Amino acid sequence: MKENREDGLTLAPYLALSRDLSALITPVSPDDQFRAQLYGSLLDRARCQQSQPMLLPLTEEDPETRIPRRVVRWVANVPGQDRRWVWGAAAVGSAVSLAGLVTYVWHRRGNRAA
Amino acid sequence: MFHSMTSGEGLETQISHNHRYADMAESQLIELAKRDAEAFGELYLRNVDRIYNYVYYRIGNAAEAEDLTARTFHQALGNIERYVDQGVPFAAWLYRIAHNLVANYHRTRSRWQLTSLEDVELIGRAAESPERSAETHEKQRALWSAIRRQPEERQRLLILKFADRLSNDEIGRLMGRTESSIKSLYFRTLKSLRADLEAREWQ
Repeated sequence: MKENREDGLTLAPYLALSRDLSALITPVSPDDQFRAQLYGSLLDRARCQQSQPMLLPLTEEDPETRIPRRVVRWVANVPGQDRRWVWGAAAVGSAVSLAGLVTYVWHRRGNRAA
Repeated sequence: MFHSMTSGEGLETQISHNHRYADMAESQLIELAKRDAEAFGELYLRNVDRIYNYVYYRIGNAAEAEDLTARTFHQALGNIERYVDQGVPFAAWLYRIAHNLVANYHRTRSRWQLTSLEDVELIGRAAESPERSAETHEKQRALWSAIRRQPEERQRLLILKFADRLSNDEIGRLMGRTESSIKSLYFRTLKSLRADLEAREWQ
């Protein structure tokens, strides 16, 4: 009995603090309009995310890579192990285009010299 | 801007809720959410209040809390395809995202040395009755300051316990701890708060 009283006296300040915390930190809810608007924007984005990537505007660029966004999104939807060939193909295509341009410029210079 | 005190009944009329997901198990819902927008919407509805609670009490401002709550869910949506269900509640992942956003928020504010008005709104909330004395107001301000000086983990514990009204077991599952560990952490938090308040001559 005495031991319980001692325990009760020791715990009393913590019980009081616990009550203060309970009165201070009470459940809150976001504004209903905010909740509904956020729900709507999330669903819009989810549908866009899950829809055909070609529907995305061509002019929209990914801010990090500067690549048109529909290309980035299409690559993101390709399974991970297949993405390397996609990027490889893109690199080869770019190299071929560059080689073609260099060849054209060189040929033009050659014609002028002649 | 003040948060709503309604239970969300008005929300049903504003949101065309897909009730077929309302009773679905979370693990099933998560897999569906990777390809079904409304499934993600259901995950949102189940978790928006708790995330808002956490963010609101971590930063103390309703408008900013709305912004960070929105960013939390948009970030979750952007990464949902990579989420792997490991038997931990989905909310645990959302709390991690929210925690990082809150941490960045505080870092940005301290970098710009912005005047902290964080607790003004929180104290104003608690002291709604005009009969509350100035001493009570000051006591609550001191308690909020003491809470803010606690590590993030302890602040999260207090928010989950009092704002979300979760049991120690539920808190443990969200924080990756056992129930007894949560009880121990809670008692250590109380001791730390009391010592902090006594050091500043508040009891």
